[in-house]
Amino acid sequence: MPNKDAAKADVLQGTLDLMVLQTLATLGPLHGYAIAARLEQVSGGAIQLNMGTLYPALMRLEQQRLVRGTWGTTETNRKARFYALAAAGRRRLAAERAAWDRMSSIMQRVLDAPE
Amino acid sequence: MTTRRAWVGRLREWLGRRSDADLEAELRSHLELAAEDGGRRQARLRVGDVPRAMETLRGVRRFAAWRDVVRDLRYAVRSLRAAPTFTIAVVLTLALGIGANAAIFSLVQAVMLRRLPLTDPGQLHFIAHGSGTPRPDGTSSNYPYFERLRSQSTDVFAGITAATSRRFKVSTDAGVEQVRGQYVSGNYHALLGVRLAVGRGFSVEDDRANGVPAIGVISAAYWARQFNRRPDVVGQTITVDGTPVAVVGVTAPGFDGLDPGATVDITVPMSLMARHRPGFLDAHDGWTSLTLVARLKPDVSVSQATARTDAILQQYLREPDNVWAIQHSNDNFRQALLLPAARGTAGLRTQYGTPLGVLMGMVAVLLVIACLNIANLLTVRASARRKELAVRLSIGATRGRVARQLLTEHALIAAIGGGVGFALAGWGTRAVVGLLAQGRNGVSIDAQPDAGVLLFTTIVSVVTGLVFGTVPALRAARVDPLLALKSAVRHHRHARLTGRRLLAAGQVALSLALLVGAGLLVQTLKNVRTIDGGFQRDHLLLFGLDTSGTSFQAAGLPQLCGDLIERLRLRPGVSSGSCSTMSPVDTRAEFTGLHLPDRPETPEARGIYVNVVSAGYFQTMGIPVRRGRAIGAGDTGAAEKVAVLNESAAAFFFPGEDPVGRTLSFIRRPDTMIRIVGIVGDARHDLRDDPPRMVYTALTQIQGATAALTASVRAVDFDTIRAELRTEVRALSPAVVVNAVRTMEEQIDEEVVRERLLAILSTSFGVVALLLCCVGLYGVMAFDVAARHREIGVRLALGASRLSILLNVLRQAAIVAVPGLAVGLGLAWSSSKILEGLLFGLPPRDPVTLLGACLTLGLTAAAAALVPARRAAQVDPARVLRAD
Repeated sequence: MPNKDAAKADVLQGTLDLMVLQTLATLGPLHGYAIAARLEQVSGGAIQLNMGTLYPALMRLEQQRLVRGTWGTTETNRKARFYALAAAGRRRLAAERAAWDRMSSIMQRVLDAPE
Repeated sequence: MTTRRAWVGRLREWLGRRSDADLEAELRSHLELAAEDGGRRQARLRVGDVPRAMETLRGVRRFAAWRDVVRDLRYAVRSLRAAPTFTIAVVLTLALGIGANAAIFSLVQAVMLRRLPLTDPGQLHFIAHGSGTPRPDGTSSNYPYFERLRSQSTDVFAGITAATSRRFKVSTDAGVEQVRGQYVSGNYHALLGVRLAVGRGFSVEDDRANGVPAIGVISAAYWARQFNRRPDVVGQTITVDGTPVAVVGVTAPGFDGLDPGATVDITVPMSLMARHRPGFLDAHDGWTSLTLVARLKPDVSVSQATARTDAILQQYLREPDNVWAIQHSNDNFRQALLLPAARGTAGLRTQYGTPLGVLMGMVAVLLVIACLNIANLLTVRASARRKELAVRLSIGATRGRVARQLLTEHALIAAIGGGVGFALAGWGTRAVVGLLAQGRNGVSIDAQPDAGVLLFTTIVSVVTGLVFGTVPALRAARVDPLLALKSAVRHHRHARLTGRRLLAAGQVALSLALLVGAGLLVQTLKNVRTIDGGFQRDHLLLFGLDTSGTSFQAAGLPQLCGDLIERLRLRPGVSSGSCSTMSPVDTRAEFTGLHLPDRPETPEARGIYVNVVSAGYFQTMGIPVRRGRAIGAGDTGAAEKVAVLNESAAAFFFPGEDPVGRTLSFIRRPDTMIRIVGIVGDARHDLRDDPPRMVYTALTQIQGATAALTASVRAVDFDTIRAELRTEVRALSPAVVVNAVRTMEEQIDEEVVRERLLAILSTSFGVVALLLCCVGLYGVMAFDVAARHREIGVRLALGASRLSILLNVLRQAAIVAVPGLAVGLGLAWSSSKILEGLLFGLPPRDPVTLLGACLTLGLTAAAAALVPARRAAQVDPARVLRAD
């Protein structure tokens, strides 16, 4: 991957992780499609995740033990893999939220600073 | 899912790795769910397709895994650099252990395992003979037998070649020197498949007797030494034993003849023998040192070929001319044998097989001791890093990750240790090879670490890393973050200490076993070296005189000898001198058969040592004359033929009688009567064996042809003599070559090179083991004292004496060391059989050595424990109580 893409992917990756964690915290265990659908809905269509973007993030989160994945069945009786937030994930979510809030308030102050 | 798949799945989960099939199933289910939402085609447009998503996932997984490895390595490097003392100690310990193993393995490979670099060496066999009993088989033969075999065995052998080695007198522009060489039959290079660096090998035409100019092939080493590797060496002439020989080829490095360890520098065709040693090619009244090598035909089995060879042998023995073979040969020629020749002759392997095996065992034990030490050090380091690991665990690292990172660190240590060890091994091997190559009969081994040794070192490093690295890594990862962060030391102390105590005790046990071995081998060396050989070994200088090709054949030798001794005796300090064909503790030995009148033939009489000596021999050697007289100046060629027996021979052949005055004759000339005029003391030939039965005859009355003599001079100081020896001899005759100038002490040193090797190496290993053991014990006691810091302070405050504290710590050390010594003694006792064949003069369970080793180790251990003990006794109770 060329460097610029890597940097962009990293930024996207960090925020995507946070969004997934928050979604799971809000709605409880969901399968991958449901997470993508929810994010699309909440963002008003701005975030459209295809499989190639969503699943690397879920795989990473699972490897870091922030979420736990298990096979289950949907309401329509289809097999799907459900992801649930783990304790470590909850802690990471809190930390990331705090960091995000801090950063956005600083940015706000800098961008709106009077001359 | 079946149970097994469930378990595999759980393992995968623990590792955090999902199978491709699992991922793909999830992606498909995503697609299905999207299709539910808005139609299949729409779905694919919205969420992408499965193959491409799988590609991305795989890429991410690979990238993540790689990134993890790189991160682990970086972290490992950083943490090792942050603790330089620890890292250096561990790497050095490991390098010593692995390096020693690699070095000994290099030797084992070079001496025992390496195959000759010939074409298809597995098909080559020595044609030998034996008696069917466990006696060593002989590979001698003679030329007529070779010719019969060559013509009659074409159904089983693709070809047979013959070789016999010899020390040639070579004259080049630089001078005359003695060079190891061999005569070979014309098909030698072709049949064996010898690779040549320059020029060509022999062909069958080159082996014709007459009318063909003599050619020769030289070794790569000789080419470098004598010709400076000049490219136009083909066509150069060297004079070999008086015959000008044109060089036609140079063998590629790696092949130095069929005897491992003995480099053959010059190879000439067998037909040259007709000029140098006429009669060799026709002689069939004895076995000579002609080695025969045959190549099996592809579809012929060894037993088939052996049967055929045996048939030819029996037929040969029954030829009317070969009556001697039945009468005078010993049992060794009952049947023919084929011995594998892929690794060359067995001499070097037999000599060094057991010693190398013992050394490999020792060095493996040393590595185990080193590993125990390192495991100890790692455990200490892990407990020191408890806080760091706890922090990492609490911010979200899994135990698996932490364990993996620690394993990476340990693997890195193993890799560095292995690398340094490999470098050390090269140095060590060179030193050993140098030791073995000393002297006239020095063994030349090419034992430079090669790919095989590198592979061995890698495997050893990996296994070592796993052995010492896994348990500490797993244990460290089991740290409970909460407890660790609270900085309570006590919770883990007890469990840790027992483990470390066990490790230290294990080290003591193994070190004791090594020390016992070293002690036994050192004493063996001393015993062999200082045993009374029956002669006086001090102030004795020996040198060889090579008169071949000069006018001094048999008749002139006594004159040459006499003149030389006269000249040397003119020098101050020289008390006596003599010449002989053999000297005590020599590798050369000559046998003959005795014929005693009125006595039945005994097999022992057929193989008695014979030494042809000049007057003054016994005086020079310091061998006492027990009865009668020694060989003297009066025993000239014209006088009655005389002989002297040594005590063993006299006791054996004339038990209870006085042999002086009796006569005997030699089997080859049964009509020449020789009178026994004296009995002398026994002199050892091999220091490790009993003195052989020997008969001495006079140089002036010599009965056979000989061109090489050993001259001996007894003098107070040799320096000037050694320097001017060659001038003295040249003054008498410019063609006589002086070689192998050495003192008797030096000759004995060469004789015991095997014992020296074992003594030096085993002592080195023992000392290193002792050091490692002490470091280990010190570490355990220091940790113990540090952990009990508060307890000691309290005790002191309550009135305990400092001495009692000291003794207490020492007692703790004894709890570790004493069981270790006991187990070590048990180990040494039960494994004593291994050393049996290598010892001399003491039993493998020698109590003095066992006791000595225990004392050495015990005292050193006590010293190692004393330092922390004193520190414990010096604890300031007030400070301890205040700090709590």
